[in-house]
Amino acid sequence: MPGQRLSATVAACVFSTMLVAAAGASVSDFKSPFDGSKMDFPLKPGEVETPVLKEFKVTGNNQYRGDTKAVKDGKELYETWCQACHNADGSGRMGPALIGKDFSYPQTASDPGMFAIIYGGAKGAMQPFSAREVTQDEMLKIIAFVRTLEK
Amino acid sequence: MKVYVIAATLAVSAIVATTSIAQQLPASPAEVAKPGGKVPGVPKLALVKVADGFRDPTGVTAANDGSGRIFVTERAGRVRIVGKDGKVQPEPFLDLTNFNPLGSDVQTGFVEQGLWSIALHPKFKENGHVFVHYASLPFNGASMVVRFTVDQASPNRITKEQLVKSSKVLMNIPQPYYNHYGGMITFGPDGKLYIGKGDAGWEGDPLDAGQRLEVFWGKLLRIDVDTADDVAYAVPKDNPFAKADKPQLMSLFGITEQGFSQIKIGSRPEIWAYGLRNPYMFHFDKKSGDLFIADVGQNHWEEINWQPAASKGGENYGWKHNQGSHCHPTTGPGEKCPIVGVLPIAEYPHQEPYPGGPKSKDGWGCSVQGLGVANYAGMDKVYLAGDWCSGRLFATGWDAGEKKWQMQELMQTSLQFTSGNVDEEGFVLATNCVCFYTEDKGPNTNPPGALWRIMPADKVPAGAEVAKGN
Repeated sequence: MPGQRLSATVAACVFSTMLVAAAGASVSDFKSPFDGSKMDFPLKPGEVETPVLKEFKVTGNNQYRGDTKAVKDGKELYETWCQACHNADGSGRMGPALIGKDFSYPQTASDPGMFAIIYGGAKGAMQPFSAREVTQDEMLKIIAFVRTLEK
Repeated sequence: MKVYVIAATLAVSAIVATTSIAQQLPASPAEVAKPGGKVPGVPKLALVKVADGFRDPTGVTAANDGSGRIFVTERAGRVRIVGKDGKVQPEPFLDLTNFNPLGSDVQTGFVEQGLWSIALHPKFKENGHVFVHYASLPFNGASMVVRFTVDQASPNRITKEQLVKSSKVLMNIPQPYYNHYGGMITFGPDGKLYIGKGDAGWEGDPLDAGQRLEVFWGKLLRIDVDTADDVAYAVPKDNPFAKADKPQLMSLFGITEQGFSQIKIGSRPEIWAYGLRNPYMFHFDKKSGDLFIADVGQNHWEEINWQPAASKGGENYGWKHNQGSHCHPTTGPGEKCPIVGVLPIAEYPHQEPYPGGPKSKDGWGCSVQGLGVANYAGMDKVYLAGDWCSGRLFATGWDAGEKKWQMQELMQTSLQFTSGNVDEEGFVLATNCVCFYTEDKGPNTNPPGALWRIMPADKVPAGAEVAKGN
């Protein structure tokens, strides 16, 4: 019986993880906002592939979502890199809104889609963050914070 | 005899009618074109890479001397030459960064500061005169208009010695804030030098510079550079305010109100047009002589202004009373304010056309950079402009069928447009930087930008690189 209960707990955890994953994950959104072509995300020399990043690239599941520390880090990164264009509340200013449903690039809705845009850039002033001092792990933290802006 | 007179009158009427139908300024805000229109004759266009590797390219000018050379200004203070073969000459044509023994002569601390523009004298081929406009480091950011002269023995390189020896400072305009300088300078079809000056910065035009006629800020200036070497420049006699401040005896009687209104004490005679916020790029149509001004807006609207070739100057484009065809500050639908001066022919919004307004999906941006007037591939006097933030390419042109101006978003690219001009063959050129406000690491450190030629998509040379976009 104890064993069964454990299995049930594990199953429930797995199931809930899958639910969370379903909300933010769509690995098919690892694609260019220009032409929908599949994207790769090579690391910079010396850049570490954290377990969270590794998991994200396989499942599209961003484990930093809801992680208080990561979201706090993400907020600081957002204030440094994103806020001037996208506004403190993500409503957009010089750059488009990151909240709501009517995104400039529909793939923004999923974490892999947003990751692809941050990493590889999009149109106009949204140049690739892969060329800046931001790691891929930090991009996931930024996304985790941006998702908290959704009211 | 009578018949001839009638015929002549009819002919004149017909000409007048044709002219008035041809193109006219919008009479009301409702007539100002917005994205969503269709500009007649514009084919599918592509941006074809001409050359790259430029550090924050800010301006471009074709030599127009038969050499096929294109001059590209780099923000740090260098001018690069792109040869007919598309190769960039390794040594700069002109370098403002090292002639001053104490360091660069160019202030680049803020991304809007630096070298913006080079203009070649209409008789450049004979006299070798080039004119540049830049933010001066020694003069604390003041904007300088300086002439240098090419040594004909060294046509592709103005050496340090030649630069110092040939320099002639035309203007030194102090700048209180680090933004809104304007930038482009170019010669009009009349042979006069036109200088785009921004409202001197901050936001909201706190100096009311746009409307004040005693300051150079917020204006398009027009000067005559063909003066003796010890005379900086002359004011063309036909400038709209050339005589507005002339010393004169006062006469109170026998003068019409119209006559009194011409007296503008303290006004600067160099002013050609006013009420501008930041006319970074403006272009004369080589074919018609018409002038288009891309006036960068503040939080909500970017505008395109137009002057027919026959303009006598003196236009007031309304800043800071109006932004585009709207009130400034704008509050949205139902707002009431006078429209001051001349309306733009076209305008496009930022994401929010007014505070809290509905978010635009297409056709928006945050900083309009005029690129040039296109008269090719079916386009007839179509003004192309690119947005620095959204990477969108816009066309503005007259729709003779609808008898109105139209504005059309042609594509959204990956480029931060900075400038443009027309090359010797008539194609519109564009430059882009990777130097946005939030990512500026300095003019020598930012990732390089490029020079592009805007061509019909079906005429892109095989193997050419085309800017990403749709």
